[in-house]
Amino acid sequence: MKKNLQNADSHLLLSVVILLVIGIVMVYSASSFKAQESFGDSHFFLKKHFLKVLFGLLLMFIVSKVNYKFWLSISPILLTASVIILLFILVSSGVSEIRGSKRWINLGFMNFQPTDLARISLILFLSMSMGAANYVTPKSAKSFLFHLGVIACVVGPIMLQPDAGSAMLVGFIALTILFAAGEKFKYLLILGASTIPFLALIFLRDGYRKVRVMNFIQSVKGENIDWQALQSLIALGNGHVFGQGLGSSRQKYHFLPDPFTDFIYSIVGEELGLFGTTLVLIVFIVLIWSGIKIALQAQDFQAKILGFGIATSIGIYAFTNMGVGVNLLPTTGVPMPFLSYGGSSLITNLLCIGILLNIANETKQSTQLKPVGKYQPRRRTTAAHA
Amino acid sequence: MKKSSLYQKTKSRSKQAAGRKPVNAGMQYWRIHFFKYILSAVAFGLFLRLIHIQIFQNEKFEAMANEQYNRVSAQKAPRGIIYDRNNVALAMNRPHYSLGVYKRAIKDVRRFSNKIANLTGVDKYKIVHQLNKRSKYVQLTRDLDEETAKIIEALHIPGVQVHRSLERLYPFDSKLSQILGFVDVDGKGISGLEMKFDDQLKGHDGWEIVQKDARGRNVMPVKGLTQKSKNGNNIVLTIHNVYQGIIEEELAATVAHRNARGGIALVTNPATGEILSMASVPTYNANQASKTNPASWRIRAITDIFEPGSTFKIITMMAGLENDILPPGKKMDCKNGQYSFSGELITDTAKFGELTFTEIFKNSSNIGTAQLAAKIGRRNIFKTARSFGFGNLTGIELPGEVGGIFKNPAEWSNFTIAAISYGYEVAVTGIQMAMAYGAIANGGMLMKPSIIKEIQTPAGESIHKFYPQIIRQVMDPNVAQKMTDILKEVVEDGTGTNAKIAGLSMAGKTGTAQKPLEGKSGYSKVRFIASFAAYYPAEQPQYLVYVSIDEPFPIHSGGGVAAPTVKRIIEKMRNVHTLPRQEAPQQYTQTSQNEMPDRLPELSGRHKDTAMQLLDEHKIAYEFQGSGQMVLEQIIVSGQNKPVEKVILVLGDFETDSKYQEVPDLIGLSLREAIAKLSVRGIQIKIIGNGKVVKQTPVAGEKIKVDASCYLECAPAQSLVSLIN
Repeated sequence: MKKNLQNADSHLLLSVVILLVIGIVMVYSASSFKAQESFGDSHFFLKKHFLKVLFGLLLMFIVSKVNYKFWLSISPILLTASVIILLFILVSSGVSEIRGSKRWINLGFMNFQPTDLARISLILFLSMSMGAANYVTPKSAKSFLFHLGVIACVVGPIMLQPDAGSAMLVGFIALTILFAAGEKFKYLLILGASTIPFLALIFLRDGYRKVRVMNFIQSVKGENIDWQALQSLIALGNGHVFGQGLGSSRQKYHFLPDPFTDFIYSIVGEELGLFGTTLVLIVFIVLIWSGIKIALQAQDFQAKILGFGIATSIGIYAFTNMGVGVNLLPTTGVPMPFLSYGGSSLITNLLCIGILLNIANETKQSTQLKPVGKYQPRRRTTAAHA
Repeated sequence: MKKSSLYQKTKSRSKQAAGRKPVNAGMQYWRIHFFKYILSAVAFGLFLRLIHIQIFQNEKFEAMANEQYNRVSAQKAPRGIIYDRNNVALAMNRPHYSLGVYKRAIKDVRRFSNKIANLTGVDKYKIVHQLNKRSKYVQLTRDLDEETAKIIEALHIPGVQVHRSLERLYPFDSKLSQILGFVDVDGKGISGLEMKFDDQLKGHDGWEIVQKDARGRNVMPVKGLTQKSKNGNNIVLTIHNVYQGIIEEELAATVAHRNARGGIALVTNPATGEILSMASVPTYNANQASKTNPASWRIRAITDIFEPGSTFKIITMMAGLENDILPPGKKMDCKNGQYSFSGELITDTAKFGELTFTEIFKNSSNIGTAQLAAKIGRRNIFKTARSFGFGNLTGIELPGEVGGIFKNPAEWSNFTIAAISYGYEVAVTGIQMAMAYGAIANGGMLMKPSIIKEIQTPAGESIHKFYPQIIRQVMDPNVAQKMTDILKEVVEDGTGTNAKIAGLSMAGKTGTAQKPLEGKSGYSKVRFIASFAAYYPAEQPQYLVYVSIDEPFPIHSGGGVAAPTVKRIIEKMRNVHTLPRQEAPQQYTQTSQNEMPDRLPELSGRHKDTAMQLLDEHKIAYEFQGSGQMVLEQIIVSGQNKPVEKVILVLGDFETDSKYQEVPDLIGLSLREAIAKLSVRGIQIKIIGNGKVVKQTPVAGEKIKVDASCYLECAPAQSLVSLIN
C-alpha cells in the first residue's frame, strides 16, 4: 500500500510538472508574437507566466505541509468569504471588465479571479459537510436542500457576472461531489427532472440562447461554425500527426483568439500535432487516476471526497476546455489547467494539488503509525451541521 | 445494469449497517470509481475526435489554413522609360514614399505627432487632424524624401509604416509633354505615347503570395510563392532632346511675342520621315497634368486641322512641273492683283504683272497659282494632293491623329480648284505639311512619319526598330529638284527672305491663311494662320523645319511671323554640335530613276505569295528574313543610285507561330493550385482578389497564347464555413 501511494503521489506530481513544462513552452510559443507586438518584448508573457508557476509551486509545497483538515475546518469561512467577494464584484466598479463580464480583481501583481477561490472553497466545504456523515448514512432531504442552497449561493453570483460557463462547471462539480459522497439517487433524479422544464422555459423564452444552442448543434454537425471554433479546428486539423513544429503556429497571428489562454490546447495541436494533444490527454488521465487513487486510499472519508473533488474538478476543467477546442462544446471561457496562461486558475490548481499531496502524505503517515486494517476513521462534527 | 445492481447491493447492505459500521472498501466507493471511468471514457471520446480532426480532416483544414494565410500582394512593374534619340530619359520613374500609421499603436497622440512633425516637417496639427480620422490606418504624408523615409524605417516606431512606390516623373516638365502624355494615379497611360504604348511600357505586374496575419499584416515568417514583376519595355524616340528644347523655346517666344493663340513647330529628317522634334503651344507640365487644361494636352500638329494657305501651293507647283504647264521662259499675266474667277475675286498681296513659273511661287501669287491650277485641271490637282497624303492619316505612332479634309472632285464647286491651288477649302495637319515638304526635299518620296526609333526590353535588347518607310513615290526626282530650286528662290528673294541665313542654302515656302469665320461662310480679315516650311541644306536636305502660328497679331504673314521663327530655330540648331550619329540616315540620291515604281505597295500584313507577286510586278528585288507565311514588315534597302534597290521582307506567322495552350478549368481551385496549373502551361497570371478562383478569363477550354495572361478573379472564402462539410 505504501508503495502504491508513493507511486500515486509521484505520478500526480510528475504529471503536474509535465503539464507545467508543456504549458511554459506553449505559452511562450503562443504569446511571443503578441508580447512583441503589444509590449515590445517577446518574453513579456513568458516571464510573468514563469513567475506565477514558481509562485504556484511554492504555494503547493507549503499547502502540502499543512494538514488538509485545517482547510476543511476553515472551509465555511472561506466559502462565506468567496460568496461575499463574488457579490462584491457584482456591485463594485473597481473590477476589471473583460469582454463585458466582471470576473477579475486586480491584486497588483496579478489578476485574481474570485470564481477560482469560490470553486476550491465549495469543494472544501462540500467535502467537509458531506464527508462528515458516513458514506452510508442516509441523507435527509433537509441536508440535500441545505447543500443545494449552498451551491446556489456560489453558482448564482458567478452566473450573474455573467459567466455561465464557469457557473455551470462549478455547479456540475458540486453535484458530482454530492453524488460521489453518496447523496440519494432519488434526490438527484428529482433535481435533474425538475431542471428540465426550467431549462426548457429558458430555452423557449430566450431567443438568443435558443439561437446559440441551435447554432451549436449545427456546428457539431459541421455546419455554420463560429469563428473561434473554426479557427481552433483549423489549428488542430492543420497540425496533423506531428504538428507544424514548435513555434510554427500561424493561427496565433490573430486568427485564433486567446491562443495562450483558453485556446492553448489548439496551439498544442497545431504545433505538436496529434502527438502533442494525445500526450496532454494521457497526462491528464494519469493525473486524474492518481488523484482518485490518493483519494480512495485516504483513511478519512472527508479526505476521500476532497481528493475526489479536486481530481475530478481538474479533469472536468481540462476536458471541457478540450471539448471546446474540438468543437464538441460551445465556446466557454474555461482555461486549460496547468497549461493556460492566467495566474488565478494556475495557482488555485497548484494549491489543490498541494492539498492532494498532503492527503497522500497523511495517509502514508497514518498507515505507517498504525497497522493496516485497524485504523477506523473517526466521525467529525462541524459547525456546518450545528 | 451491473453497476446499478451493485448499487442496490451496496445500498441494501448499508441499510443494514445503519451507519454504525464502516462498510468494507472495494466496490463501496463505486461512485468514485464510476467517475474515474466516466472521465476516462470522455478522454477516449476526445481522443477519437482528435484523430478525426487531426488525421482524417487534416487535408481540409490544411487547405482552409493556407487559404486564410495566403494573400496576394501585387508588385507593380516599373514602367518602361522613354528616351530621346540620344538616350536622354524623357519619362522615368522615381521612388515615392508615403507614411501611415495604425492608430492602435499610438499611446500618446501629442508626443507621437510632435515626433513625426519633427522628422518629416509636416505640420503637427495636420498630423493630429489626420489622427482624428475614424479609420484604423491613417496616412500621415504622401511626400516623403528618401532619406527621411529611411530614417523613419530605421526608428521602428510602433505602428508606423513607410510605403514605397514608383511614381512617373517627367524630368523636363513641359518639354514634349503632349507627345509623352502622362499616366493616371494607377500608372496607366491616359494620353500621348504613355497611352498609345501603354502595353509596351507597363510591363507585367508581379505578385507574391505572402502569409499574412488575421489583420492583413506581413508578419508571418513563412515565405510564399512569387512571380516577379517584369519591367515595361523602354521606348527610344526619334526626338532630339536639344532640338526639342530649341523649337519649344522659339515657338513659345513667337506665340507670346506675336500675341498668338497657339502654334506648332516640327523638325523632321526629310530623308527618313523621323520626327526630330515636335512642339505645340499652349503646353502643360506633365508632372501636374491633372491640374492643367486638357486643351493643352493636344498634339496640335496631328490633331488640329487648318486651311494651310500658300504653303499648299506646292501641289499646283508639282502638277504644273509634271505637266509642263508654263515652261521656263514663258510668263503668265497676273492681272495686277485682282482677278475674278468663277464669280469670286482673287487678290494678291501686291500688284503683279507678267510672272514666270518660278516668280509666281516666289512671290506667292494667288492669281498666278489659280490660273495654273485651272490649266492643270481638277483630276490632276486632286491626284497630286491625294498622292501627298492629304485627307489621309500619315500613320504616325501617336494617338489622336486626324486625316484632314480633302473633298472629292465631284463635290467641288467651280471655284474650288482655284481655292485649293492656294490652300483653301482644304484642311490639313502640320504633320501632313511637313511630310509633303519632306517628299520634295528627299527627291519625291512621301515618307511615313515616325517618332519611335526603337523599342527595347528593359535589358536593352531591341524588340522593334524603326526603318524608314516609304509610303509612295510622289514625284519624279527631277520634278523634286526643280521644286527645290523654286523654293530656294522663295527664301533667297521671295516671301521667305526673313528666314535667310548667310552661307546656308535653304528651300522654303511661306503661308498666310485667313481663318474661316466662325458660324458663317467667308474668311476673317484679322485672324490668320502664318506658317513657314523650310529644309536645308537645299542640295541634300538633312532637316526640315515647319512652323505654324495660330492668329498672330498684328503682324500675321507667314514671311513676317513664321519665317523669322524658323530662322532662329535653324540658327540655334546649327550651333548644336552633336557627335555624328553612327547610323547615318538613309539618303536618297536624285539620279536616274528608270526602274523606279511610281507606287511602292504596302506589303506588311500581306501573305508572302501576294507580296512576291506584287514585287515581281514592280520588278523590285527582294529578300526574305525569318520564316513564315505572312509579311510582318518591309525594309527598304537603297542602293548607290536608286532609292529602292531591294526590299527585305520580314516574315512571320501571326497565328500559328506562337504556341497556344488550352486554359484549364480553374474555378473553385485555390490560388496555389490554379497558379501551379497555369505556370506549367507557361501562361501568365493576373490575380484579382484573394481566396478561391471564382471567375477566369478566358474560360476553360479556350486557347490562349503562351505568355498571354489569364485573369483570375478570386473571392475570399466566406465559403470557409460551408466547406467544412
